[in-house]
Amino acid sequence: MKRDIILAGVGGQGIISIAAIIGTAALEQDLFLKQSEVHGMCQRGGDVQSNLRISDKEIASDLIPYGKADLIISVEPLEALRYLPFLSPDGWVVTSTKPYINIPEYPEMDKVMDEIRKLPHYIALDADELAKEIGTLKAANIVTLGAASPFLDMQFDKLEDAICSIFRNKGADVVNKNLQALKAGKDFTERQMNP
Amino acid sequence: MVHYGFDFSERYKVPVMLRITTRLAHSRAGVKRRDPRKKNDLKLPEDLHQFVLLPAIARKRYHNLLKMQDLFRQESETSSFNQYMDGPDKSLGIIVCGIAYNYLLENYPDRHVPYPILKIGQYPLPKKMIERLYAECKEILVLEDGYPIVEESLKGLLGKGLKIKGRLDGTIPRDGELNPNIVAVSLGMKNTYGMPVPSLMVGRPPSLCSGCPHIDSFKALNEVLEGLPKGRVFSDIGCYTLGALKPYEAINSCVDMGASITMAKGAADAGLVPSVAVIGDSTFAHSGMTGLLDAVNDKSPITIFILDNGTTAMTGGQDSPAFGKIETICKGIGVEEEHIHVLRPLKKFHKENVKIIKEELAYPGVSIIIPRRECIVAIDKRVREKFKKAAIV
Ligand SMILES: Cc1ncc(C[n+]2csc(CCOP(=O)(O)OP(=O)(O)O)c2C)c(N)n1
Repeated sequence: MKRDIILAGVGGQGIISIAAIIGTAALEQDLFLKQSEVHGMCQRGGDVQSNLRISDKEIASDLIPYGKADLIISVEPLEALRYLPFLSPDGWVVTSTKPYINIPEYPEMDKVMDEIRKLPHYIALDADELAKEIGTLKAANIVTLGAASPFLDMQFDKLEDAICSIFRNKGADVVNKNLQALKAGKDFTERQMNP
Repeated sequence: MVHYGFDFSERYKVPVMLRITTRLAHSRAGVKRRDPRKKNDLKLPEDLHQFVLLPAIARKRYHNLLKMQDLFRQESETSSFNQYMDGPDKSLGIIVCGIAYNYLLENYPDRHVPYPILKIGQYPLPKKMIERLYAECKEILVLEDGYPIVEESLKGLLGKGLKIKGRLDGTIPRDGELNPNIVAVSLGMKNTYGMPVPSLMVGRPPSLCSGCPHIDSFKALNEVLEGLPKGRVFSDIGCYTLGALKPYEAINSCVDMGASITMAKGAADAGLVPSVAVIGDSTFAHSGMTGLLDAVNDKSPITIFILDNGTTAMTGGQDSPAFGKIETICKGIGVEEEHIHVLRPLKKFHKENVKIIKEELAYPGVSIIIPRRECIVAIDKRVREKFKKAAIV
């Protein structure tokens, strides 16, 4: 088992939590894990990227080579496209379609979506919308993670356990909302894959 | 390695430096923890002159340090951090340091590298191991991240003859971070590629949060300086360094903590008036105060902005050591009270703020402007914690 994952988004959008959840779940299953913050994860408003590698064998490089990533998980559509040079030909892109517009020259949304639709394997979902339905916009990142979960080659309940342990000290309500968010994302992808 | 470093330091009574290059400082992995080592008992130095570096003593200490080099070299030859791994193909020998070893292995999925490898993790360089590699192989490739430190020192260690490939001969780019792809190419392997980035892509540099008090400070400062030739605002490191970028382009330097004040003073003393320093409250507490004293003593005509957002925002919101004391510190250092102004960096006070800044820029001595408003991320955190506490009660 091996999964090389690029996590992408804009600083402050919560990709650190996604990395923490996948990482915790991986360690619980005694998998090897390497995570590398490639672009200032604490820089608000800028593009951020993290390399996450999981494997049942020891991992060599902290960085994913070009063309080798199995999965790009992005909480923002333009950011999903930024890391295509890392994607393997069989790789999947899972991205939220909700743009984060904090730069004046942000490209036209239709054109961004056209580029995403050109990809051979992708799941595009409005994670904000689904998170709103659950009652917390803050969980949009977890919705996106849920949508990526079928591609992680990991038991779903391990991700749920990780959410419970990571959000535990924020109270039962936060844990439940995030569990719902994870499930909503997963359901979305399953509907796409088996219509 | 850290355990080993501490033990080494205790044994030889020398400082040991742990050097981590680029990626290593930003990576994490699952690790097995071992039991923490017991803390050493507190004891006073046996040699009471050890840290008295008067010239006569310092000379002796340096002599002793030089005498120890042979021991350090021997340690390097037998250290488990320096490993000679033989390989059948002697057309190339690889010297590899730190994280570059991970990139090297990445290119061999079965983890069998055909070439002899010397993996170096402890200095001084293990001369004998290097000489063996040099004697057995036709060419040497050096893989190290950051500066070509090992590669350059090989010149002193080895005679001329074999070709040494690395950053200095262009086999590997002279600058920039290493990665598995660069290492693959340096080994003559095929590079791998993904898909190109679509042409519509644009950059997304980090930016100040909307609502950040620094924004209002920069707007006021820019308005006051409008029309003057640019390049006179010396600054420092913190969130406000983003003020160098568009759309503000309000500051012109970020060199080391505290340098905003000393550079502005130097420029003013050389005749640049007005000369402005912009420094964060936390950076001011760390190393702005000594420069301020110097400026006050010389009555240098500078205007210093101490941006007081009540926190150390850039590094994650730690307390700022000068919290609640900035005016007192400035007064204590000797800044005249009437030239210390606390401003409210908000749109509605913009005009008033511009007026005060203008007046102080015209004053031929040290002025302090303190735009004070809490960092919005800090407010958010504070409020959330309050609610959390309320929920628990
Ligand atoms: C010598 C040194 N130590 C530590 C740091 C890490 N560092 C970066 S910015 C900063 C301080 C930022 O606080 P402040 O000046 O209050 O500005 P703010 O980010 O709050 O706007 C520190 C300590 C550094 N850059 N240099």
